[in-house]
Amino acid sequence: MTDEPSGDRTELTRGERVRAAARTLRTPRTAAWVADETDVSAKTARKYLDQLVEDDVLRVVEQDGQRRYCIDQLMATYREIATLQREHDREALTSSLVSIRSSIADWKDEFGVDTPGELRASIADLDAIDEIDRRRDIASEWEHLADRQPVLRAALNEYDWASERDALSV
Amino acid sequence: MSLPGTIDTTVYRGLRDVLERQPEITTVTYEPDSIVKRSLRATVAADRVRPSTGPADPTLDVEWRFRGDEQFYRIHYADPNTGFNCGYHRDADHPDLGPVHFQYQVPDASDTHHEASSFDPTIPTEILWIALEELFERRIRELLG
Repeated sequence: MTDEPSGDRTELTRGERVRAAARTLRTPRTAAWVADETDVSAKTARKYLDQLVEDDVLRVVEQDGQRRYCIDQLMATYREIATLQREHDREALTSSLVSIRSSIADWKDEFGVDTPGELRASIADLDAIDEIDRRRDIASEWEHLADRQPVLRAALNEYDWASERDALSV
Repeated sequence: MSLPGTIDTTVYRGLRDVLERQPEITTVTYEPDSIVKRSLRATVAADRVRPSTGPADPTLDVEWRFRGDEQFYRIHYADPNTGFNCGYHRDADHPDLGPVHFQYQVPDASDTHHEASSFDPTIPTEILWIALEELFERRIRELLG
């Protein structure tokens, strides 16, 4: 354990810094690693990381005999779905889903491929830099929209039920 | 050309926290909207930037992507009043400058200047935190002062 770094950072700032960093832990990391990255003591990092585990933002995995923290992706997805249901009406969610489907259908039709991976593979046969860049950009956008699709569908599937539950709390 | 890699929208939550704590920033939204969530856009208060600008508020765009353990990002400030823009980019555009470069275009200049840059931390929120401090405390003042 090390002393806290000197400087004018308040305890609040340290906590917020660890909390923000914790939301980017895509691979499991130790408290010491987070402490080093955020310039706080291991004790401080562990305190805030354990709070986030209690709040279901992070989860703990044991790797190589070490306690490591990473984003609780299942809970993060549930939160994302709830936020979509709370912040958007059914029409907006439906319209966005239709737009995503339409974009993907257009790309399948234009390039004669079924997946963004196949679109990337088609670049190997091209010489024109502009067209290579364009296909890379579209493949990237396609992957992102394909990731958003199931989240949007889940938000729409239980929209009425979620709205009723939401109304109970006000 | 867009950044390589894929977006992890969960990470945007942490980055949004950092943007919202920056004194010059008034609002943070998702682009193109909070359903698709491709990137983050912060509105910067024109009267809080030094040297001050206006009447329109500048913007700060943040996009982050991942390919395995690699990360790519753009943290870019743009002033619509003068055309001045600058930012830190980790992409494939200038491999001669290393993984990260800082680029800027000052008012009335036709060329964009690029220079090598780097960040010690690897965690996205810390990179953003340092980049924002650098931009608002040093870079914009030096380039326009």
